Amino acid sequence: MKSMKHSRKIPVMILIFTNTLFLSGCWNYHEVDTLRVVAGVAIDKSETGDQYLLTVETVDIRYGKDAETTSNTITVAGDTLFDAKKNMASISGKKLYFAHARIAVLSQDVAAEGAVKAIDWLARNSELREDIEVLVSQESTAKEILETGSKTDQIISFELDKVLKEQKNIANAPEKELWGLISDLGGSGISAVLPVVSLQEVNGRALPSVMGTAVFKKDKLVGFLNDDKTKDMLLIQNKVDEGSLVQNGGGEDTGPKVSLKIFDNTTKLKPAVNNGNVEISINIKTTAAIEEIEGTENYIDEPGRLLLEQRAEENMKKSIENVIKEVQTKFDSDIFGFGAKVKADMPGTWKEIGTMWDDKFKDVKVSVHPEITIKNSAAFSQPLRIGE
Amino acid sequence: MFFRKKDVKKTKSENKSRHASSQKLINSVDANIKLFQDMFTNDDTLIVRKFQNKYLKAAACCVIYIDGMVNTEVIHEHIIQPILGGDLKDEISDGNLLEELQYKVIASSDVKESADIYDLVGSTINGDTVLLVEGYKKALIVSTKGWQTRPIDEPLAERVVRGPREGFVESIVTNLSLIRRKIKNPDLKFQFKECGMTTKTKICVCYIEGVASEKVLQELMHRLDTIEIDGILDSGSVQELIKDAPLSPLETVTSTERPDNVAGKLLEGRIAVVVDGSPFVLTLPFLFVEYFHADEDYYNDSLFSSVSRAFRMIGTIAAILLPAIYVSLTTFHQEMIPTPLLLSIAAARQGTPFPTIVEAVIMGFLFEILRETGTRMPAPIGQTVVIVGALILGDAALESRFISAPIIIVSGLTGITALLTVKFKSFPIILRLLFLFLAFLMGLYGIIFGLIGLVIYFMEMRSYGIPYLLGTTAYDEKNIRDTVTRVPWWQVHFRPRLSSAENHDSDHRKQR
Repeated sequence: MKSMKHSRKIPVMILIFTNTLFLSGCWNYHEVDTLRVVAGVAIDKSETGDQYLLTVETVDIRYGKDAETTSNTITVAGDTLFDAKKNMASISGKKLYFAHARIAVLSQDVAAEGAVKAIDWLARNSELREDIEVLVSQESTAKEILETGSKTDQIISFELDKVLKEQKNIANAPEKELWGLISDLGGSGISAVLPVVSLQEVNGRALPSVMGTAVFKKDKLVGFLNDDKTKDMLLIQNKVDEGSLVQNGGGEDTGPKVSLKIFDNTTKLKPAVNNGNVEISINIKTTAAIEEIEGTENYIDEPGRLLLEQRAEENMKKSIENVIKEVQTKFDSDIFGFGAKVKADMPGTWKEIGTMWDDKFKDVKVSVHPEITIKNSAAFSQPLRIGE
Repeated sequence: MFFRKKDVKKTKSENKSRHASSQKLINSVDANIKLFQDMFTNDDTLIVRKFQNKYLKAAACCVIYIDGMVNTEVIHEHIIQPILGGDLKDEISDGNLLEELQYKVIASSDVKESADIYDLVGSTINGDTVLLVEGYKKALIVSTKGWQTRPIDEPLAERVVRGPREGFVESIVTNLSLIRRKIKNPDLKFQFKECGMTTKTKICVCYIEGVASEKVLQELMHRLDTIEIDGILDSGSVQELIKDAPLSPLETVTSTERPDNVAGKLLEGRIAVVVDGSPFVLTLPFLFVEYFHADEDYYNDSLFSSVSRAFRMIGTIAAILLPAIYVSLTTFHQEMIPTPLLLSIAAARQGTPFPTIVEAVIMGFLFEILRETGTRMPAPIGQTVVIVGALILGDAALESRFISAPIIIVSGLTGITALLTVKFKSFPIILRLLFLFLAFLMGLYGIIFGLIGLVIYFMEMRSYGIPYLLGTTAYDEKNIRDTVTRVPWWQVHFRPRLSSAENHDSDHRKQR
C-alpha cells in the first residue's frame, strides 16, 4: 500500500518541480566576476539638450597579492536613460550591475527641467534599489562629482553615501532616499528637498562636499538653501538628532562665542485656522550642552546659563522665522510640510483649502516657540580662568 | 505497516534435511558418540573424553564438548573428577544413575536433561558440555560456557568527558547484565529470539513493562519474526532489517555503545534490541530530535546542554544549506550580499577557471574524500593524510587560482559543522548535494522549495508508528523539556514520553 502511494507521489512531485522551473522568474545565473559593480550614477543633459548623459562610477577590481578596488567612470549618451544604459553595454565588457549603486546625482539643469523624468528609470529599474541616495550637483555637471573618484583613489559614491548617512548628526543637508523623494513628490501639502553636493578645494584637490539644500516646487528645482538655513529647515521638520548651535554669549552680537551641542530635539507643529487663515505654531524642545566657551565668562552657573538659554532661543526664533519667510517669498514651496500637517490634524479644513494650498502657503502665519535646556558643560564644570 | 519482499530461502529446509536420519539417542555410549561424530564430520574441535568410575563400573560416561568454547577447568573439576574419583557406590543406590549424577555428583549451577540430538548438538555449539552415560537414552547438558571476551571498555565512538565510562562488549550476557545493573526493577523484561538461519544469533528485546508501548513492542516482535537472513554478524544488519523508511538516509532505529544511554531510553518507554556479538545496542522508536542529543547532555549543567543542543541544530542547518546559500547568493542574488563582501568575493573569483557551482561540488567531494580517508586510515597515518590534504592542497589550490578562497571557507565550515552531529552520517551529504543542485537551478527560490519538500518528507515519516518530528512541530511546555532544550532535573517530574505509549504517568520518583 505504501509503495503504491509513493509510486503516484513521485511523478506528481517531479511534475510540480519541473513546472516551477518554467513558471518562476529567477533565471539569471551569472557569476560575480562577470559583473561590473556600479557604485553611483550621475545624470546630465547633453550640450545640445536633447539627450541624456548617463555616467556610472564602477568599482573595478585589480587582483594580485592583495585585491585592490579602483574607481572608473563611463559616460554615454542616449535619448532616454535606458537607451543610454543599453549603449553602455557596447563599451563596458562586463555586465553593469546596478543593485549596489548607492547614490544618484542629478545635474542642475536635469533637476530644473523636472526630476520625474530622471528618477522614473531609477525607480522602475528592477536592479536599482529604492534606498539609493539622491543628490543635486551644484557644479555645472553632475558627472564631475563622480569623476573625482579616480583622482582620489576612493569609490566616491560610497564615500558620499557615508557622509549622507551621517547627516542626522550633522544637520548640514537633508538626507533623501529615492523612495522618500518619490513619496514627497507625490504627497500633497509637502514639497521635495534634496541634498546638494559641490566640489571644494581640500589640500589642493577638489573633493565633493555635501552641504545645503536644493528646493523643489512640484518636481522642478527652484533654488538652494545654504547649510545654516538647512539646519533651521531640518529643525522645523524635526529631523535633527544631534547638531550644533553657535551663539554669542552677550546681548546683540557681543560677548564671547559659545558652542552648544544639541543632544535631543523634538519639534511639534500645531496648525490652527483663524479667520480663514492658517496659522502654524512651531514648538521646539531642545536639550543641549555647552561644548565650547571662547572666553572666561561664566555661562555655567545659573544666571549665566539662563541668559545663554534665552539668547539661544531668541536667535533660533529669529533665524527660523527668516528661513520660513525666505522660502515663502522666494520659492513659494512648502518644503516644511505645513500643508501635510494641516491635512493630518485638520482633515475637514484641508478639504476646503487643500486645492488652494499653493496660494495659501505664502500667507501662512508662523509663530516659533523654541525652548532650549542646557543640561551640562561637557567635561569641565567651570569656564577656564586666566591667573592675575 | 511493514512490507518487505520475503526471499524464500531454501537453506533452512536444506539444513534440516541433511541430518534427517537417526534422530534419537540410544542406550549405548559408543553408538551415541558415533552419532555426534557423524554430525561433526570434518570438525576437529569436537573433543570426546570417555571415563569410568573406579568403584562403580556401571558409571561409564563420556563428555563431549567443543574446544575453545568451554571452560576446561569446570569440566575437569566439576564433572570428570567427581565422577572419576568419588566413591559412587556409597552415594548412588541402584535407582536412576543419570538423575543421581545430576543431583549428587555434578557441581554445576545449570544442568539439564535432554534426549533430543538437536538440542544436544545446539548446546555443544554454544559451549556447553554433553555428558553421556552408558545405558541411558538421555544425556545431561552441563553449562560450561567459557570463552575469551574483551573486557568492558570505554566506547571509542561515544566518548564522554562526564558520565559513566563503561561500554557494551560483544557478549550478549555481559551486555544484558550492564543494562540490568542500571535498572534494578523486575519490570525490566528481557525476551530472547534467534535470528539468522545459519548463524543462529541470539537477539534480546529489552523493555520496561508498563512504560514501553505495547503496540510498538508487538510491531517490533512481528518485524523480528519476519527476518529471513542466513547470517547476522552485527546489530547493523538487524537495524536495517527492522527500520521504517528503509531507503531513507535518516535513521528510524538508532544504536549506541553506552549502557547508560540504553537505560535512559528504556526509562523513556523505548525498547532496546541487543544482538549477540555486537557491542552496538539498538533502541527504538527513534525521533529526529534525538540526533541532537548527546549522552553528556544529561550529566552536564542544563544550561550548557541546552546551548550545546542549539549549536548542534544550527550546525546541522549550516552543514546542509551553507554551500547552497553561498552559490545562490553569488550567482543569483548578488544584491543581497553587502557591498564590501561582494567586492571581495568578486576579487577572489577573478581569474578562477570554474563556475561557482562546480567549485562547490569539487570542494564538497574533496572534503568528504579527506574525511573518509582520515577515518579508514590507521590513526597516525590518518592525521598526516588530513593535514597534507587540507593544508597543502587547499593552499596550493588557492595560490594557483585553481579555486577561489570563499568556497574553501564555505566548504571547510560546512565540513566541520557536519561533524558536530556525527550520528547523521550520509544525511547532510546527500541533502547538501540536493540543495546545491536546487540553488544552481533556481537560487534561493529553489532552496525554499527544497526546504518545503524536506518538511513534507519529515512530516510523513514515522518510526514504529510514532511521528518522526514528535515534540518539535508545536510549542508545548512539555515538548521543549527534553527536545530543543534540556531543563534542569528538578523540573523533570515526568520523563519525556512517546505519545503512543499508554503509560504516561511515569513519574520516575514514584515509579513502582
